Amino acid sequence: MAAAQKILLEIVTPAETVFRGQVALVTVPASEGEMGVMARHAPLITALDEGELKLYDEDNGVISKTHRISGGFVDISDNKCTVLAEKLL
Amino acid sequence: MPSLKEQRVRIASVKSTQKITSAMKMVAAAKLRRAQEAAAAGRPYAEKMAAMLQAVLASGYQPEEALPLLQGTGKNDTYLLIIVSTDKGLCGGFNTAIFRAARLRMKHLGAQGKTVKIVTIGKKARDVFVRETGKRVVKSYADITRKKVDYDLVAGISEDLQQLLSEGAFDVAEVLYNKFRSAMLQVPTWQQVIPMPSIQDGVPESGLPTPVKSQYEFEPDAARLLAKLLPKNLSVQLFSVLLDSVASEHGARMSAMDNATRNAGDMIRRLTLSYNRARQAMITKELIEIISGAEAV
Repeated sequence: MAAAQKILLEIVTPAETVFRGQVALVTVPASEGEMGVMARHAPLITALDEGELKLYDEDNGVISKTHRISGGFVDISDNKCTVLAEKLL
Repeated sequence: MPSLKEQRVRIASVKSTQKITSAMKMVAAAKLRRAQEAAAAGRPYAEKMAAMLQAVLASGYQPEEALPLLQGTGKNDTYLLIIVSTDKGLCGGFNTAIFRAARLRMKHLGAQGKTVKIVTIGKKARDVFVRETGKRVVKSYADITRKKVDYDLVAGISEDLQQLLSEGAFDVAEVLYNKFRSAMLQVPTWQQVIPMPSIQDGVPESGLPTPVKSQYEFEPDAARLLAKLLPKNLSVQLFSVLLDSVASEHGARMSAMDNATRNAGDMIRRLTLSYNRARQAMITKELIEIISGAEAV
């Protein structure tokens, strides 16, 4: 199997860009429930609740990083996932 | 003609003033760089927010409830001017320029029969407009731009504004601030923030990216998403305005202090010249006295 496809993740706060890089999977605390985003996700805009962003660098179930956010929005399009976080906790 | 000693003291005092202004210039330069970095770092968020809003608006949503932030209150009788100034002085014509622009705008709106109310940000605007227009000032904020602009504080201002809007205190809000062009040039600018300028006009400032075809799905639905996005967008707009104004402030202070340092230099040169002349004249006079005294003997 070819190397797992990845999606470009950006985590942006009003003051700065916190993270920018390729991940295999990221889970976000969407307002309708936690949601996993992988490569080639359908275009979607959704609000986020307070909760954790979990980043998976490889598709092996290992969380490589977590960020706690106080809410915000996520925009997924063109194999790019942009998280607009109000604040990192 | 002041005595030699007086002139010496004068020169020394101008010199120490020059030292202070040149130090302030250095400080302002460093702060300007930091403020510019902060403004650049804040841009992606503002741009993405604008793009999202546009995507949601382009989807042809059906609003369930009125959204005054987007559609206004249906009237435009009362204008709220948000005047962004500084907390500290010594920044040249920075505040004067923004106050002049504000007075002009007030006069213009007044001539159209609109009621004008004022919100001030920064001590300088508060001092001036409370004195000049008294009751028109509905709210004042100070020490927002003193240190790093804090997003939470700005979000607080935006909440206050929404509160005022929902109480029907105003219909249209505009923010007046000094837009940063370069360290030398700041342009007083006004920009409407409530209701949100329509997409056709383009949301100013952010330089909207190419319109996205709305192939998006929305969660929850577009209308509810919009209701959440709009207040955040207001905060973000205010935030980027403040970041811009802070960069302008430091730019203005830097060039004001640069001028002051140069003026002090000129002054020292002139004072030193006249001091040396006076000293020379005195020596010559003494010599003449000695010589004529010796001749008389």
